[in-house]
Amino acid sequence: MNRKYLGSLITTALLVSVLVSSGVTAAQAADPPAGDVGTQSVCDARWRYKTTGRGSNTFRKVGGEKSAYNGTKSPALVTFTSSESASVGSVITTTLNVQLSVVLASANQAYDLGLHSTLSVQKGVDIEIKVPSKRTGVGQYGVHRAYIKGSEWYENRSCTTSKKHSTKVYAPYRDGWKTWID
Amino acid sequence: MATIGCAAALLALAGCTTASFEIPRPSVTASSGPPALPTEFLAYEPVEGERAVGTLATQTGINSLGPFTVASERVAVYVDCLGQGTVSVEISGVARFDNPCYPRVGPLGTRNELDMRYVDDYTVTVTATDEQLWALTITEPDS
Repeated sequence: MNRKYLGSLITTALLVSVLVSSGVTAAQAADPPAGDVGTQSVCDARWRYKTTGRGSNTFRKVGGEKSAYNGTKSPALVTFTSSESASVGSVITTTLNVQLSVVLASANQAYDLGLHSTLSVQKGVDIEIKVPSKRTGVGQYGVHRAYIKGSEWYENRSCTTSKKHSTKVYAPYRDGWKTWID
Repeated sequence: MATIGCAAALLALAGCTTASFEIPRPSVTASSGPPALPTEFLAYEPVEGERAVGTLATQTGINSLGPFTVASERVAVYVDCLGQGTVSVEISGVARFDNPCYPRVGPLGTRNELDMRYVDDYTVTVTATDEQLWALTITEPDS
């Protein structure tokens, strides 16, 4: 098996643009709520984040579907090999004011997943399946993303906090095949 | 994005760094020999949308889970391995693959999902060396 992973760490300079249906951009959403002036500086005014849970993983296809028909009278072993390399990034489906790296660090601490913003996979990943007689074996290679549920809020200098809102981040963390018999 | 089904948003990693890093290799000195393996190596924990069938954590050498009577049309096999080379994973009567090992913990595991409709029962066997630390979880995903 010729495979190698590369991970890309998001830099602090990374610009994450999040488009939401309301038209609010990440930059707009990052403006601190009112009431953050004229108070004694006790806390660092900033957005805060906490991982609250995990949800169902999602699957990102890499390359096309493979298939092989077994026209013999006996079951046959078929090997599928991934034929494309890819870098699969994280997906954010809500407003997110903290950096993605903050979310991933929090999730890694909570669940020990070793998440990075991007996972790169290379072609040459094999799986061998048994295909019954007169049937077609099908396989799709890809990358699974972990669904990270979170909560985000703004804390101002007087240590009062804004209302929390939920965040959803999908971060790549495993590769593999989905196979089935048609 | 379509699989997420959320029309509300899209992540644009514009300007995302292309800097990447190689998986770090363990530092080994001639006098100390190979680095000691961790005493604990956790297996994947299923999340919503799948149910655990069996789990093996902190394994070396050869071991198996099963036999299991097929109770779901599909199963997912999660394998993590710490060390060098690959370990062999066989789902009896269904599939086989080589799973890579890496010198540090994830995100380096695999998830392979299989069609179980043509077997009545199955056993999952992992074949590794004593220098490879591995973990295995079998789940039944919701259809």
